[in-house]
Amino acid sequence: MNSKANSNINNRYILFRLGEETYGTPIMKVREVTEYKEPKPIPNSMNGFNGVINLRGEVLGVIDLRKILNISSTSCLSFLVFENSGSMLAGMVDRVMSVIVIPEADIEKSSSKNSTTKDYYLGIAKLETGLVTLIDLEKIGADLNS
Amino acid sequence: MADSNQSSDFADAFREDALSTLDNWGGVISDAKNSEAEETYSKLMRCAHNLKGNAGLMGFEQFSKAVHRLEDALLRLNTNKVDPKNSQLLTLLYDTEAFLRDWVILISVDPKHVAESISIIEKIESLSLNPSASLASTGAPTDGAQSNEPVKLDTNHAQKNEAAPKTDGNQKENSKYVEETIQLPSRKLDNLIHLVGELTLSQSIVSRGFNEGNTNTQQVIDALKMSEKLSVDLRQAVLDLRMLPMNGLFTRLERAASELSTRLNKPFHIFTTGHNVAVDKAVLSRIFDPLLHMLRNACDHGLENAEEREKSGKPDQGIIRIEAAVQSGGVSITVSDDGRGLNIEKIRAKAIEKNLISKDQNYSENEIRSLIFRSGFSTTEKVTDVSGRGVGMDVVLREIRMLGGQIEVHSELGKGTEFLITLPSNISLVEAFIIITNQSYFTVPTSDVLEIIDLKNYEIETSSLHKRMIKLRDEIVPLLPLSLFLKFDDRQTNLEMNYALIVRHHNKMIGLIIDEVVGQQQIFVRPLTGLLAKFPWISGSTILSNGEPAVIINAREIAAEGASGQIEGKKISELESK
Repeated sequence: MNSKANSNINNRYILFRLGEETYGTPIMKVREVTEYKEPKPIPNSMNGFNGVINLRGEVLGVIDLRKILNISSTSCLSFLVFENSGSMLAGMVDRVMSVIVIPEADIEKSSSKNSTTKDYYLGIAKLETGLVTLIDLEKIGADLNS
Repeated sequence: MADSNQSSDFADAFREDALSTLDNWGGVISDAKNSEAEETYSKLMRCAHNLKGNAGLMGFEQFSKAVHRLEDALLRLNTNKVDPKNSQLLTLLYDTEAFLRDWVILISVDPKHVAESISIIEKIESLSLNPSASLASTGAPTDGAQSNEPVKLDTNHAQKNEAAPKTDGNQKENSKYVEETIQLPSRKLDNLIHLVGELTLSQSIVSRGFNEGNTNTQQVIDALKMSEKLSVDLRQAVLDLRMLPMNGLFTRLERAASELSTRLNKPFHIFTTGHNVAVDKAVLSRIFDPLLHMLRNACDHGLENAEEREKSGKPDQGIIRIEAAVQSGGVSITVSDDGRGLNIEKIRAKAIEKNLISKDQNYSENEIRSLIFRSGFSTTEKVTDVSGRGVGMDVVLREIRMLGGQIEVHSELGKGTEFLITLPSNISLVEAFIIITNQSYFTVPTSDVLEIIDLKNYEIETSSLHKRMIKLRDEIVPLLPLSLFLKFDDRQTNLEMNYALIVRHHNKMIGLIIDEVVGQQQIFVRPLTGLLAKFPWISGSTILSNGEPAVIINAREIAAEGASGQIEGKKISELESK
């Protein structure tokens, strides 16, 4: 990582799997990755909200990224814990793969404001291994909040 | 950590403790007129015992002996059924309080202080040895067997009689003595008063705006913004009132450590750091027992004896450290020793023997270590006086979880063991019922519930107004399924009619039907933030003793909505018929 001149913390991404595809999100926005545990459902909650878990004494809301992004998948092994308007949320993902540096030049910013994707996408990164969709966890959280 | 410093800390702690015990003593005497004699004596003896113990630990021999004599005298007075309401005796007991108070202050400043006379205690003693003679006549007591100064006793009495009405006046105020109290620096109170003052000012600007029919002025808007900020500050300041430093707790632990060291004949050093770390009072009072337990364990099982230590090249005196520190969102407390460490093989063998794990499976060292938190696990064969009184690390784990905290263990064989506890710092403790409805656990603060009734014992009736209702002490109570309010998308709501929480809304009672009542316990309430704050009927969250999260439901709000016959604008009767 240190070999690249432009490898600062802001262009590091965490890659994870949702269904058949690989997604990424800026690592700065992720507080931690933790093992999946069955959330306790909360009554009257919205679609995409799966309940709460106890993470070291803190009660965290769990959101189902697969449901929100309309991805069908059955296995979930990890949570990405991220901050959302002062509290923490845990996003369900199939599994976490790696942390990599993606230079800005390799990212094609999503420009077209497509109404169905609701602005959750930061862009698409072209890696040697294929394309990775970069998503914005903060936006997803904020959207659920409104 | 200079020695002199520490001993003066000890003296401070002793003084605090002793003075508050004497406060209690005073309270008991003020209450004596309304209490049973036996109760009064037993409370006084407890106070005396307390004082004696604390003084003993500090090495104040004369003091502790004198209080010991006092304790004996109280015991005799109790056995001889001397009425503590007797004014002569009451006076003596009051004087004793004042006398001991002075002594405590003197001795805590100068540990070498020697009291010249303990005549007051001697008087009580003589009274206890010969009660009938001393109390025969109200005025002049004839000289009791050992009383040296009967005359002086009398004058004393007369003097006090003049002051009697004053004490009587205080009595009522003192009668609520047992209430939980909290000491705080006046700075905190001043801050509150200041905030309330500012808030009142902002509020008056807003009300004036309303009265004049002009709320859209810059002044009103500013005042509203200001009051918003002030109420946040106020909330913080109020929460802060319950935050107390750890030093008192540490003093008690240090004292316990020196006692342990003597009892086990195992000299060791104890170091504590983080005396100023503040935690909620509720946490402070509940964390002592778990910490004491861990201290005992460290001392009894963790530290080797001097011989063994020498063999492994360690200094002959072991070290136990208890360290508190502030970390994000709470505090951490570490209890560590430089003893023998946890023996993985021994734990594994024990766990297999106790059927906690299976023989063939592979476990990581960490997993093995955490087995010590399982119930039914205890590595020492013999139950010693010090540790192993049937409580194990499983109880420690449970207590800490209930406080919303958690505990980890790190250990290296031959090097020592470390327990790391993390606790949230601002929380509040509430007594709550744990109930089941819609196949989920919920908690309801007991203060929201008038009673819980078993519906089997009631006849459920129907009227034009209510689909279900019962008669409870001649009052009609409509019943509503709680599950109607707490719906899950993916679950069929099936209604079991087992119990009902009776909740009051204005002057009406409403029964909320639930499946089961699991129990009642104290829970730590965490406020809901962000996304979690959006869901209706939920006022907070908590973590149950099994480590599972659960939400706290707002039964009063539900009752209010239920009383209106609607849920979020929909008719209950329609929802129910679905």
